[in-house]
Amino acid sequence: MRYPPSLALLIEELKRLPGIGQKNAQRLAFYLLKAPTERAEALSRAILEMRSRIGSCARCFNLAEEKLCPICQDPGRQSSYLCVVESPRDLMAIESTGQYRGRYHVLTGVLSPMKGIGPEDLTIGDLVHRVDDEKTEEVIIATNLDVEGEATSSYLVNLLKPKGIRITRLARGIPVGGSLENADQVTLRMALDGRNVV
Amino acid sequence: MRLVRADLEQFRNLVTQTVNLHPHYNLLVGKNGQGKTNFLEAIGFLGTLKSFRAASRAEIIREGSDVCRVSSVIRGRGMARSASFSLTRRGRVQFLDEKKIDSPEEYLTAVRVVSFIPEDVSLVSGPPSRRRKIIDRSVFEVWPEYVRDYRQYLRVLRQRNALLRRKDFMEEELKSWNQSLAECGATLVRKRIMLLAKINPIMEEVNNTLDLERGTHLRYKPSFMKAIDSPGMLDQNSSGLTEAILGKLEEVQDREKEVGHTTVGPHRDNIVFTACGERDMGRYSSQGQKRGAVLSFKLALARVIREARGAWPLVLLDDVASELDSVKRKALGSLIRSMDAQFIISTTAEEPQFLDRQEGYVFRVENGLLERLQ
Repeated sequence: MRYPPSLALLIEELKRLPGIGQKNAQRLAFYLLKAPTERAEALSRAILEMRSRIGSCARCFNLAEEKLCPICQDPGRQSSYLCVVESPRDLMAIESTGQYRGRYHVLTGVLSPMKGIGPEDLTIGDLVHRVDDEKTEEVIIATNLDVEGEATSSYLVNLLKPKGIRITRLARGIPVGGSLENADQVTLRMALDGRNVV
Repeated sequence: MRLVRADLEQFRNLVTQTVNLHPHYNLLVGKNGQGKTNFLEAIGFLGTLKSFRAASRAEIIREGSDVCRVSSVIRGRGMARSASFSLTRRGRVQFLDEKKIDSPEEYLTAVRVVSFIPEDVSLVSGPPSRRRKIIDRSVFEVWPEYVRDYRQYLRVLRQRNALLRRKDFMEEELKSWNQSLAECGATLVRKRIMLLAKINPIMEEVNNTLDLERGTHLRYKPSFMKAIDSPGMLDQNSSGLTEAILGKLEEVQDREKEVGHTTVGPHRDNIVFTACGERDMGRYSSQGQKRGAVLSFKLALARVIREARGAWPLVLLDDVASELDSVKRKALGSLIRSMDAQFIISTTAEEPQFLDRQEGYVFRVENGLLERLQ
């Protein structure tokens, strides 16, 4: 027997979501079918509302429901520090440490000639303006440590160096709870190079 | 590492059979076309997941069969484990201790094989890409994490080539890719040269023992500078090499924009077999001399792997003695005896002259069947 068309449509839509296959899609669809009407309504409202309200912050390109994101609106944040990340998700990761009190700039991607992404496709121009306007003292480059993240980082370094501000890169090394034995040579060497006085 | 036992199923002309091997010397005797090289190829495949004859899966799987399988029991550091692979026309799967291993690198570090076949002589005069490949494979055998450096470099290279093809880019963007290419490239060059520094003195020794052409060694010819002579260039973070690659990239930049790809870097470096007086053996040496050079490289590699990993690789020698005179055969015999590795050696001669039959196992190979002679 086939599913009624409306149920089949829902299953098809759910299957488009990342990590959801046929079985999971069926399970979710049947859950929504049997759950109280309010649950289904709340979910569909939440999706629509999220889509209509979320845009990007006019200053740092983080996710924002207003013109500026909560971090850019927060007067307690130190404008002298600017942490450059690839995506809002990376921003969230740093934010979850609760340690950083400066501001952010989201590049919305990294350099990748293979995907046709050049500096003009990222928010690098805006970053340069911000560094000038906001009297930034230190730019912390927190792009990923892969090939594209490194190339983007060195592009930013070349671009910002002439401004005479402090430019730093996230430290690389042994993960907390990790053992030296399991660390690969590259990581170990980085950790040695970046050792601290105790 | 010792190969204790091999079970063969549907591999080329080889009969389905179990072969128990001697921990040191295994001699395969028989006429041509009986399956000696096929057996070595099967064992080589077990160690490298590749055919040393660059054969396709369809060629390897016995005609009329859908799947071919080689399983083995190996012993290393007092521990026995099993390694096996199976091939179908669609693909390959490998197992360690009956567990399917998805990453070839993980499998390859468990089973180590060094092979020498007569066709290897073309390594000396063939294109540089073949020598780069074997050197890269050898570096991986000695420092397995090299595979990551290598992949990283390839990725930077692809990105930079994509940029050069686009032509309408800013200088600064190319500059950042230059930086990445030089840094990743310097890591590869440094490790390759470190490997040559280990191989060359041992090659020299092997050469002397076998009375081969004097001064035979491997020389690194970089694409980005004349020669790497100063040891200072090979310091921990390879900053000297990085600078050299970076400088050359800037020099050739205009030309690269025209041709649309990267023309300098480790992917364009050459490694040359040279004999006394820096002579390129690919151009000036005889077939016999080239053969000797590759043989001494392979034997040296086996010893370097032993020193780096603490265990000998299995050494496969196909038809190694045919072009050696009796003096050299004797010398080869004593060289083999001086190495504590396990050997599988094929020969067409009934009496190999370089090993006594009592020292190991002798197998007669006929119609794809290995029969141990008592």
